[in-house]
Amino acid sequence: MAVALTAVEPFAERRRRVSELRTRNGFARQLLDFYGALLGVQETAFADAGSSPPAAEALGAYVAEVVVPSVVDVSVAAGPDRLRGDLMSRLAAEEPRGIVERWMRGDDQPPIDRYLARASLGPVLEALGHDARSACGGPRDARHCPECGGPPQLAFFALAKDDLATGPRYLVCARCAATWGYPRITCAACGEDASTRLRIFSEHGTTSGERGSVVRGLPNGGVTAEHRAFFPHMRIEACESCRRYLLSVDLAVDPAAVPLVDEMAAIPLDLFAREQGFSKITPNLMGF
Amino acid sequence: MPTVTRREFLKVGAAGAGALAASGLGFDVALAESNRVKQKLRIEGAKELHSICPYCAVGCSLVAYTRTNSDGTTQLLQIEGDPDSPVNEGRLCPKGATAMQLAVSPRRVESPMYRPAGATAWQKISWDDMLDKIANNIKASRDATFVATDGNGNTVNRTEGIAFAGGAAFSSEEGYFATKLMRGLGLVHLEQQARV
Repeated sequence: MAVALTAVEPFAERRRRVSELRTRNGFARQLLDFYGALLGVQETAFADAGSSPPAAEALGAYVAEVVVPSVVDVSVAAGPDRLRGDLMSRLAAEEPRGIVERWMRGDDQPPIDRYLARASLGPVLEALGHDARSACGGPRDARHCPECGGPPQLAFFALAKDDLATGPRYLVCARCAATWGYPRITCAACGEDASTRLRIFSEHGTTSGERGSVVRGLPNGGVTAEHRAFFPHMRIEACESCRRYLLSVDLAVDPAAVPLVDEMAAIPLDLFAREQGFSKITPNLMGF
Repeated sequence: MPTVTRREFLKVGAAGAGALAASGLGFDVALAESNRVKQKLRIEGAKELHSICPYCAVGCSLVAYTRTNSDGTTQLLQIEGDPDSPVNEGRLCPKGATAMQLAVSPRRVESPMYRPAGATAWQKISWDDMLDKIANNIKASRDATFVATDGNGNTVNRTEGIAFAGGAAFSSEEGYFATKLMRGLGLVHLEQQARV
């Protein structure tokens, strides 16, 4: 069953997290500054779609007409040179509606098309209900979004209700940001559940044992990690059967994390996973 | 068991190939700086494995997190409740939540300790010496206090001069084994410190 990612309005949370991470993760500042600018446009699109929802069958046309121009404007004004150039040449060659509708169908697309479609359609799908999301194509199975059939962008461990409990694992949809429960020790790409085939890459000093505590989620036992971790609440979850991976965010370690934003800013983990020969189930909005 | 259709495989593969062209959108500054951070990451491969709490008959499901170090040794780093288990839904009792201490504890006493009668200090002894000492003491006490028949002539074959107390860290299997052994020796005074 899909659940809300956070109880509060999603864009305020994302802006807060962008502001925190651009200080903490200076290496991702270029990307986060741009995402911060894009969030303003997406928030407006979210509010507009919520107040006067388009018909599900006209979703592609609505997004192309109402949202794409603002996304293009902010991308040209605040994006890197290549993004600006690629957007201009794509839009000279192709109608935005077709680009958005291909993303809705789940067709293969070049990175620039995926970016434009995701940035524009995402907030609209978030604002609209089940009917609009079900207009999108894709399998409705455990490894795809139950709402829109999109692929998983990332995984996160929710906060548990009790001190001595571990929260369940959820996947977040790359298309509409809905979340759905998915078992641990199971590949989100191919369903592999043999633990010997599933590899986890996390930094030294990020497990409870290394922090001197025998109980996960409780304060450490006074042991200072010998190595400061860059991503204490994140890890790479990879599968040796299908060679795919995704990043996972543990809210028990950092309850202030916003999984979509933290995943986007964890570029070094993506580079590490790629170096190990794994490819991401779905590249994120910024192409990593 | 992995289940992926050929079409899905090709689609996901294409998406992965797209990611390889990073930064496809031109975030080259972030990419270069992230590359420098990546060089500093200290990461080793790890695995998560299913296990079962050893302490009681509820059988709560655990997830054990182990890392294979660069020298080939395996290190147990974290144990937590399995959120997907219908038995405990991620929860553990205070005793189960500290299950890692059963395997890894800096305070573990690593050899048998012996304090001779009248002595004030403990001394290390070997496992063989400890087993001999316990066996001799059990035999002496059992021989001295064994009751074959009670006052009414009923055969009872019990050892009244020894009591047994199991430790709090006994697993269910160890508790079962200890009880069988002690009953076999004729003990009737058995207790177990198995409190949470």
